[in-house]
Amino acid sequence: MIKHITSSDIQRFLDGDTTTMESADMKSHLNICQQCWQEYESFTMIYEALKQEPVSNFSSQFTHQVLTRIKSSPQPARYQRSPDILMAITGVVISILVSLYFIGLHTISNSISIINGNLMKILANQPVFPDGLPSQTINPYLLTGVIILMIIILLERLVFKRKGLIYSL
Amino acid sequence: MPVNMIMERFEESPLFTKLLKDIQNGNVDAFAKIIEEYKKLVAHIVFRMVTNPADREDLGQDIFIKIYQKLSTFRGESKFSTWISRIAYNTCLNHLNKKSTEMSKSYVSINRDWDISLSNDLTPLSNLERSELKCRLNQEILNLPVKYRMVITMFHLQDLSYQEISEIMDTPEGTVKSYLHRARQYLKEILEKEFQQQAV
Repeated sequence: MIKHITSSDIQRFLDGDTTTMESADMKSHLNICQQCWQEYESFTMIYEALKQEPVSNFSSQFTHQVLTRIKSSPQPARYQRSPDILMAITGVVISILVSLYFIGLHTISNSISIINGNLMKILANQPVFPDGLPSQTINPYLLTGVIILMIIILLERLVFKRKGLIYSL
Repeated sequence: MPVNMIMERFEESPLFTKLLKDIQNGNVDAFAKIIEEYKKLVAHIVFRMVTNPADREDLGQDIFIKIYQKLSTFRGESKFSTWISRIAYNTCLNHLNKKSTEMSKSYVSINRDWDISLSNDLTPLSNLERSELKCRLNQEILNLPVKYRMVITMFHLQDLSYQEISEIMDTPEGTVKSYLHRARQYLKEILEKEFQQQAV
C-alpha cells in the first residue's frame, strides 16, 4: 500500500522546512501519485493567494494626524529616555553615599579628599589603612571597584545607547 | 521585492540611524519618515486583527504614538520591524480583549467550521478562478481566530521567519508552525467544500 504525503508534510515542504532527503522523497512521490499531487496543487494555490496583498491602507491624512497627536501630547521623546539615565545616576549616587557612610565620613569635601587619597595610595601600591581597617568600614578596594564599575556602566549607557558591552553581558 | 527585505535595507541605512537620533533629540517631524516606512506593516496587522473598520484608523494612530513614546527602549536586539510588529500586535490584542465579544465571536465561528470533515472526492482548487480564490480567501481569513490570522499575515505577507513570528507573538516556534498548518488546512478545506457545493 502506498504511503501518501500528509497535508502537514506538504506544507513543511512548501515552507522550506524539510531536509534535502525529505524533499527528494516527496518530489519522487509527487511524480507518481495523482492524489498527493492534487493536494500539493491545492496548497500551492492557497500559498499563492495568501501572498496577494489584501486591501489594507490607512487614510491619506494618517501620518499628519499621528504627528498632530504627538505634538499635542505633553512629553517630547527625549524625556522618555530619562528613566534609564536617571536609574544609572541614582545607582552611582547611592553607591557613593553608602561608601561614605561605611568609611565614616560626614562632609563632602572630606569624602572627596579621602577617596582621592585612597585612590592615590592604591595606585602607589601603598596600604590604605596601615593600622588595619577602622570599625564600620568595608574593604576600600571593593568600594573603589564598585564605584568605578558604576561610572563605567553610566558612561557606557550614555555613549553606546543601543548595544553596550556590559549591557549585553 | 518582499516587504521584509525593503524594511531590512532601510534599517541598515545611515538614514535610519540618523532618524532615530533626530527623533530622540525631539525632532517630531523626523518621525513622519518612520510612519511612512512602516505604515503598511502596521496596516497589515491592524486590518487582519481588527474586523471593525471604524476602529482601525484610531488603533493605527495609537500604535504609532506608542512606538514614538517607546522609541528610547528600542535596543537593537531585534529588527526594528519586529519590534514595531510586536507593539502593533499587542495593542490590537489589548483592543480585542476589551471588546471581548469580537474575540469570542471569532472563536465560536472557527469551532463550528473546524468540524468540517474532508471527503475524499473533493475537487482541487485549481479549477477555481484565481481572483475568486483570492477574494474568498481574504473573507475566510477573517473567520479564523486572531492568532491564526496573525501567523498567516506575518508569514505570507510580511515574509517573517518562524523565529520572528514567535518573538512578536511571544509564542514558541512549534506553536507558530502548528497555527500556520491548521490555518492553511482550514482555508483549503473550507474553500474546497464551497467549490464542491457550487459545482453541485
